[in-house]
Amino acid sequence: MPKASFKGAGDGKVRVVHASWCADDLALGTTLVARLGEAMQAVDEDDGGTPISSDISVAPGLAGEQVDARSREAIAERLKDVTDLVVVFSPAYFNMQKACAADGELHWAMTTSRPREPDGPAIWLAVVAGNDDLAGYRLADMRLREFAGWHRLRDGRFDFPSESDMGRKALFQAEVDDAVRRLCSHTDAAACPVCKP
Amino acid sequence: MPQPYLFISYKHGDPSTRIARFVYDYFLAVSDGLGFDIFMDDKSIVGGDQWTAEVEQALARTTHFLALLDTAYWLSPECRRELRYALNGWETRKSPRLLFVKAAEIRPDLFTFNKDRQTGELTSDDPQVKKVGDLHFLGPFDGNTQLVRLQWEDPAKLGDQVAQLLARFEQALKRKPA
Repeated sequence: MPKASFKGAGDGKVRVVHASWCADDLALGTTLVARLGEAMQAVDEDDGGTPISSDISVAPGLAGEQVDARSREAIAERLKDVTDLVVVFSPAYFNMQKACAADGELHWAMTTSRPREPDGPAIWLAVVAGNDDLAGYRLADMRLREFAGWHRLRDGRFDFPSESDMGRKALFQAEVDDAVRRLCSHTDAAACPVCKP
Repeated sequence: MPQPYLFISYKHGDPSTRIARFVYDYFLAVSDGLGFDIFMDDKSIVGGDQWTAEVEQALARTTHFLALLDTAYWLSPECRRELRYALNGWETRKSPRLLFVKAAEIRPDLFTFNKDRQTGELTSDDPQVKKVGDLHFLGPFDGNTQLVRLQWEDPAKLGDQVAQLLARFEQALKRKPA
């Protein structure tokens, strides 16, 4: 499957969206991935008319299940067609990535994505827990806060509702819908201040 | 000088184990940046079991003892044992620092404050906690600086509360040893 060029419709390209995430004890990552997956299923193409394919799912055995340590080559092979990588960030996720070090998806993403690699994927940050400005997180020699490649699916943390709060459940769904809109409106890498080298 | 060493003490169960793991993950994620090591025993110790050598070694290194307090914690012989160890250390050599977190409601007859909080006495049979001034409640506190419990059933609020605990722990790290 070819990589998307973000030149718009009609060039035979597609966008492939993948989520890098892990389960946590409060199921925050799982909840967001499930909602995002549902919302993305309803999307066939982005705002520029480029077809979008999404493998965001919490189902075990499918692409997009929670991350674990793999060789860097295996990650590269698995994600070679991905044009948009959603990093569902929580301290639990980050600790798992720290343990994987250079053999984790996050390290791979931060070293092969735009703007460092113009043909690399766009990295989308979705913070579900932890510092939403990424202060204090360091992976190998990289400070996450200083990484130039973050696109934000939401400006702050996703606002998870409690079980009984219907109003906030609706707000949370609105945040997920807005995140999908942001992803779909990213149609021109050349005009994107994050993607520009 | 060795790095500060944080020990998370909690009662195994639900939701306390989930809360402890959430707190542990939050703190572990920034431990490199802030320069401290962290320990949490994730193996359940049932009544009568021996303390593992791992727990014992961790306690010996501990400079900051974070207790996730609730009624079950206070009634657990193993938790009391950990707390007693930490209290003895504090009373004899001012280490480890005791950092209490109100993880859930605590039965008032087990753990009470005097109103002025300065010269009051905390009551329990064992371990005996006497001087309020020796204790440091890390939180969580609400907007009126009242101690409240961790809102584990509200993930967004819990995230904010644990972030507050972490910020206060960061301050505690900057304080020189007593």
